[in-house]
Amino acid sequence: MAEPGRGPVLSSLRGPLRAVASVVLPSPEALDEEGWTEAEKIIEKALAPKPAGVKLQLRLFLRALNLLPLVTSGRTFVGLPRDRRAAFLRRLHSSPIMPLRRGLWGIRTLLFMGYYNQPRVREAIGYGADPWGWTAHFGERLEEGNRADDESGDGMEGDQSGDRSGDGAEADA
Amino acid sequence: MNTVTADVVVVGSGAGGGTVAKELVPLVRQGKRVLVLERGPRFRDEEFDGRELEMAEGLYLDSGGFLTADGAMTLAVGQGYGGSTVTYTGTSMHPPARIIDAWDVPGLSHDDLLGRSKKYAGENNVHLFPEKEINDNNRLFFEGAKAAGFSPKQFPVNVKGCLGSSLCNLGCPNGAKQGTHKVQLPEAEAGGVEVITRADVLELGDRQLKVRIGPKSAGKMGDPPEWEPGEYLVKADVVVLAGGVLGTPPLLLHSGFGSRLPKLGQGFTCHPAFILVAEHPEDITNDVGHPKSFLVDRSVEEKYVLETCMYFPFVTAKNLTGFGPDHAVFMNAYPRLQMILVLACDRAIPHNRVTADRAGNPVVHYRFTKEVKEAMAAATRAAARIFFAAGAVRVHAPLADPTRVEKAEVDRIDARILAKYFLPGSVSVSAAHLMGGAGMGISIEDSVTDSWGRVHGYPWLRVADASLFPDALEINPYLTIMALADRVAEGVLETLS
Repeated sequence: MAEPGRGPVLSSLRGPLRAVASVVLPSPEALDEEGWTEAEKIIEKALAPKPAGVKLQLRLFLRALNLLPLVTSGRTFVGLPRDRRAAFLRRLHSSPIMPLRRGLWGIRTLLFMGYYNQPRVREAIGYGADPWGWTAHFGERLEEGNRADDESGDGMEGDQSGDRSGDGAEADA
Repeated sequence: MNTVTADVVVVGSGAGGGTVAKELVPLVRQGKRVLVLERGPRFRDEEFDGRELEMAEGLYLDSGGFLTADGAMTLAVGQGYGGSTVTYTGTSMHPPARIIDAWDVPGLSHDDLLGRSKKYAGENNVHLFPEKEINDNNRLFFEGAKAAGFSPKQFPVNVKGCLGSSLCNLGCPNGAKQGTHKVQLPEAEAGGVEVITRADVLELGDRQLKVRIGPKSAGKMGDPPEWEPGEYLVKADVVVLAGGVLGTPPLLLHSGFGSRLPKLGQGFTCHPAFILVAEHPEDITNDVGHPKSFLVDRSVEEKYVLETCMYFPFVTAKNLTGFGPDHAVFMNAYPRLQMILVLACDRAIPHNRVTADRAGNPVVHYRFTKEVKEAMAAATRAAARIFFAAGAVRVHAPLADPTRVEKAEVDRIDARILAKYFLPGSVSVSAAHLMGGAGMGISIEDSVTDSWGRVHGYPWLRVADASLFPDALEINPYLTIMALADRVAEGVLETLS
């Protein structure tokens, strides 16, 4: 087991982490082994600069999460079928105990980080922001030298509310 | 330890520090030395490539994951040459008269602030974005708000040459956003002000600062520091603190000023916010075009503001509440998503404050009041009506259970979306408008500084950032920060000229 604060944080907890992911991620089956490796790499990189205490809390929470279902069902979280995992996580999500809610929020945030920061996932969901903006989106929509927002600013000249009454906004949108 | 002497040292280079730096150029012309110490690095536009994780790591404190002490809210704070003006959307609003009057700070008038605010609106090219560049995400908000009976207004923004990358919060890849990194700081440097980046102020003493210059790590964003890495003692006749709410009060507290300034760290407010999304039946333009063009301001009536917004996949996923099918249905509909940002107008209360841990790092204690929860619920109901009026088929409402609200339920919005469903730690809340902690007032009994940012009892020490706000501003704060910083600079000029 890696010492808290040093080395990989979640390598020994891959089972519980992936079990949570099976419920939390929209399409966990879309992640092949390469995708999982990439996700875990992203998560570990994000965790690396965190204080040892934060890493320890995370490990303890994942361990507790895995063991808690033993009390009610005699099986660890990893050992539960997917629908019962989902039911268990829903109970944590609305638990009256704040640290349980916060812990689950933290785990899901890490999983989303590892998932949605993969180019293939971003492409799959249709996210297409481009530094070239409209130019990339519609080709020649903006002609060089015809930029309406290039006016040198003399400020907002009185009415700064910018209220567009009537049909202003839809004209060229 | 190296020792450096200057006439004025400004800590921080954002809306406050950048403004002070530029306004002190006349001092340099008189032969005085003005230094700006910025904790983050100096970035180049070409480094802003829109990669969510990498940009967040470089541009934001704690990679954008800074949490309040109880872990229930994320606070977004920019770091680097230009501070948060590098990472905001450029929305620029003048200070409202009713708020400045309510602050009731002797010596601070709305007329005075407005005049200064207008000066920077001019300098930073603040204007209304042309209609032809407004995308569907914003257009639908405008149309939906009108149809639902609200009065949408357009945001003035400070862009020049915007290509509509929609990546404002990850740093503009086209250098269009006219923050202090594009306007005030370059002018200050051209006038002889020295800006030192990667300069972490560890401790503040009597007219001196202990500073550590950090190295540029291999593979990380930003230029190397202007000074050799190492520890420095910087001495100055006047020190201006403009490191923001997570910089200024913690530095003062860590340096022992709290014993003589009992209000230090108190009065923290932040406009707690969350993202609402709705799915439309057809694709809309949302990840292209400036993300923030309109708002519905209900701050007076119901203590909330709705703003258009567009966020990146990870930030969006993180900020939606819950998981599973109700969450996935929206993330898998990204090209059809409309987004609205809810901001609650909070009030300064005794519990909500900024402190420092043993190492001097900021710690924010925040409790959601009943009024804030009710404002969030009212805002969510209003946003849901706007979404449906704009043609959305379903809405993600964090304060509903289940969170997915279908169009067929539009008549049940009041029953479905309620404050009782707000569970801190489950509902993702974030804030970017951090205010207070070194508020203005009359004396140490009620405040930390006077209306000119002069720290009570320390004539050599000024504050020039949003820490000065005695209470929430209820609008996007940058022009107000610049206007207050302008006053601070004026005071420094009077002192040293």
